[in-house]
Amino acid sequence: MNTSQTVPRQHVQRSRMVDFRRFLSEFTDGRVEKSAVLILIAALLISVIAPMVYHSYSDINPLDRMKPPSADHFFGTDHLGRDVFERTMVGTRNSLIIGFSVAIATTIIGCILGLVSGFISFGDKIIMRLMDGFMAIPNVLLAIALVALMGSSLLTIIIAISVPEIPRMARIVRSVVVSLKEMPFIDAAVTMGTPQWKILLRHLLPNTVGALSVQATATCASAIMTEAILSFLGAGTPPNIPSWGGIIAESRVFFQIAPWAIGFPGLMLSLLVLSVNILGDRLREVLDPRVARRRS
Amino acid sequence: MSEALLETKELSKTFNIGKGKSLKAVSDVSLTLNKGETLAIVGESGCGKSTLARLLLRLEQATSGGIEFDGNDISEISGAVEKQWRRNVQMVFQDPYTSLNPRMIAHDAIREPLDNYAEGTKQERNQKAHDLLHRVGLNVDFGQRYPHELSGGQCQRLGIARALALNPKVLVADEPVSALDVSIQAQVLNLMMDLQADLGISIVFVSHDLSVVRHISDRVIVMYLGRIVEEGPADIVLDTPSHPYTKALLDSVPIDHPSKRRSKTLLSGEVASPLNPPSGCAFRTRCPVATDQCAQTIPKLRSVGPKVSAACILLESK
Amino acid sequence: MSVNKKILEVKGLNIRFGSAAAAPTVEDLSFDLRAGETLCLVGESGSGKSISALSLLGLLPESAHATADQFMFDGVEIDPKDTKSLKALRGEGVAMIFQDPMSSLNPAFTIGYQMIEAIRLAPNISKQEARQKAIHYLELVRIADAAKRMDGYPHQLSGGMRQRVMIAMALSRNPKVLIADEPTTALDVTIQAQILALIDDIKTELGTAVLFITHDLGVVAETADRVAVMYAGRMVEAGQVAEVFDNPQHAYTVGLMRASPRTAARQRRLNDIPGSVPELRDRPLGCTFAPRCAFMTPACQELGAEKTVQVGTHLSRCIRRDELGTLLGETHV
Repeated sequence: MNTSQTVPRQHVQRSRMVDFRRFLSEFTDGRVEKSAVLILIAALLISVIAPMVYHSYSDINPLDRMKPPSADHFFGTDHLGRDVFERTMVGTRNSLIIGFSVAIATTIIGCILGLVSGFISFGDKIIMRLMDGFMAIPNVLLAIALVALMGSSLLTIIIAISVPEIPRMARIVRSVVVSLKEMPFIDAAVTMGTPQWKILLRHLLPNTVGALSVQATATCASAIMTEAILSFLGAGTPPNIPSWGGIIAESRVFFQIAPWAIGFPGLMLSLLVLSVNILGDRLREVLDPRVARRRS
Repeated sequence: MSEALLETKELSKTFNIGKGKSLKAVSDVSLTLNKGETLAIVGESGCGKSTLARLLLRLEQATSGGIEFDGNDISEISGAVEKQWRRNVQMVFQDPYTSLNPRMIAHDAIREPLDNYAEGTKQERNQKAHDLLHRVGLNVDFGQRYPHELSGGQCQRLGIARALALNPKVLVADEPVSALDVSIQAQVLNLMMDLQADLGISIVFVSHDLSVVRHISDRVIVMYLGRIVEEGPADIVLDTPSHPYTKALLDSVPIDHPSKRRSKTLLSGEVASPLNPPSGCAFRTRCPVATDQCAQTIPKLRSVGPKVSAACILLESK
Repeated sequence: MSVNKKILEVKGLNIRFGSAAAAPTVEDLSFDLRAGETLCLVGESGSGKSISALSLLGLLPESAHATADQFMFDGVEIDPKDTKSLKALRGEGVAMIFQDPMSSLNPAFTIGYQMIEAIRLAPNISKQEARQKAIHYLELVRIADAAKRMDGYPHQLSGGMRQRVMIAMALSRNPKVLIADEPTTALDVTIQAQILALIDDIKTELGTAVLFITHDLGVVAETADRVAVMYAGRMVEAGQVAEVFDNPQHAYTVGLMRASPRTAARQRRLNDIPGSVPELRDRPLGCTFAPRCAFMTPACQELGAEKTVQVGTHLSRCIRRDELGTLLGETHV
């Protein structure tokens, strides 16, 4: 009992370490989750390494047009004789950058807007009507307009995909905050003199994490899809950088002759989107202390 | 003993519920909480007892009337003055789980009020949180647990520890034991009585359970549809009730032994809607002794016996 | 005392969750229920009282396994694992009302529609007959303007009224047994008194057997003919209500009674029961209550201490039951 002076703090730190280890082990619990994590790690590695290793992805080789998969060309070649494997690998980076950037941008901006509008009733109406307006803009049209205006670049695409996604995030965060605000523990915080900003950061924000993580990963997956669609429509990233959507678009005419040219990038796209969605669900479970405890 | 600590004067709260309708949850409530006493507020659901508790805590702003704490008017305070006042009055909630942040471990929950007022060094605050856990009978290891890892009774102890952290003068407890099992209920009631004896805190005890109220309180206020219908020392009000509503309420309480079974005079009907309260005395629609006169005027609370006041025109003034 | 016919007889009921080899959540529960009597199952949360009632109706969750040495309803033996015959039982023999009447009523349909639907589950009843019957039962539970109420929706009723509707709906099938699971816990005291009186009247008027589940000893004192006290999955004491209140034979029953502020002196410390109900996996050997018991002896924690002994109608699982009276006298404050 005499040593109790230092006991509490050690306890706190130790328990957080244990929490993190538990988080990791639970996060990768289950065969499906393990595969999803592996796919995501592989995609990350590819997106870093591929552009360093492969340089001939744009080389046109008329003699090797539309060759089926072989030892020389793992995924075959397209109608210009370019190696589909190299193009797909290099294209991974594009998809990942866009997916993650959009997810992070919409989470941060949407979260701030949602917290403010849900917590301070003053800004609520203005912010929410503004969000309704943004939500009404179709992302593909916005992207085409922005590309026409600002020129085709990664940033343009990220902005174009993010803008219509932000309101979704803001609405979800707002609805969670509005219901949390009525909880007795918020009243308790008020009565014990907790300042508003601390209520926002310590009581409301941590309890939105579950909803946030699901929405963020869903946004990430849908951004990857949207980017593919935009590239397919020709409003995507500049054509000198390969992207999955672009590869599929260019090869769609020759689908019956060279199915591999859209099959492989399409497969990669599906696998990545699926993995991100699976991990999103898992994240929500693991981040909820109630669920985490029940499983152990 | 009878030094007033918290006083309300004709306190009212009206909620606007849209479409031009309004709901008068609390009407003209004047009460006094003395130092070191337990004042119970009893009544059925919808009688305004919880709203009154929230008014006392300034979680709601009163529509009219005043609140005084230690002789100072606190009904209009804000900012730093309000923050300094808050530490005097703390709350214990009904639902032990939802009154705790599910993502905050017990130790941090208790430390939060101490952090808010920057009490001492961080080390001292940790120590105090530690001591408080011990004080309410929780194992110190529980400090590292999340609320869902504790039982209902343990959560309620934690809630009490948190409320005590700032050494408040008043504890407002809104149905603190109604969600707990009987054996746990007894533990928490004992804890509250012990704390009061040790620390001399005043307690406002909001409850619908008359047996619990009888056990713990010094004085009782009985409310019906937002108004006080009877007020006085607990033993007098609960043993020899004056107001017909208090009588009926006591008659409805289940007996403690099967040998006491008897046919009861049950109250007919249910509480009238607070949106459209009856004219005159709100209780007259269910009252077994109501007369035509009862519909005329809203009865005023007046003395009907030693230290007891009631709001019924049929009772003789004393 | 009661010469009425035994409607329900349960012997050695065990309920396990997960696998059939798991530790039993409810262990060796035996009781019977006679026409026109109220048996109160009392216990705190986790005692297994509600799950036992659900098992009688075949309403246990998928993961639960119920076994019994004997399960007789109205003289017919029923297998507690046979959900089909339990479902038939639910239709005709046993009806149940719950703590929260709102969640038991569908908010999208009128009271009348829901009652008529329930009544018409029985074969050969026309809509018109069913409607008459529904009004009859609403009047039986003392709902004023029954015919008018039929067209109302659940949210237009107060909590007490909804519970009356639930009772009417339960009675409309002419059950021999009415199971009431904490039917008054969510209600105000004045309304609770009304509902308790109503259930009592039904019992005497219709001769229905009532299995009343509650945590409140006051409610037991008010309504029970017989009482069974449950703790951590076991029935620890049972008997006629007067003998249990006058001469409790299990330390837990005593603890519950003395913990209630109703029976204690004003502003004195209550005799609380230290600790809390053990988790299923932490249940001790012998008497499950021993770790919290003021009168525990080493023998209480040995296998066999949990055996039931019956004297007359009074049954107890306490090995010190004969000494309890003297022990209590010593500790009285």
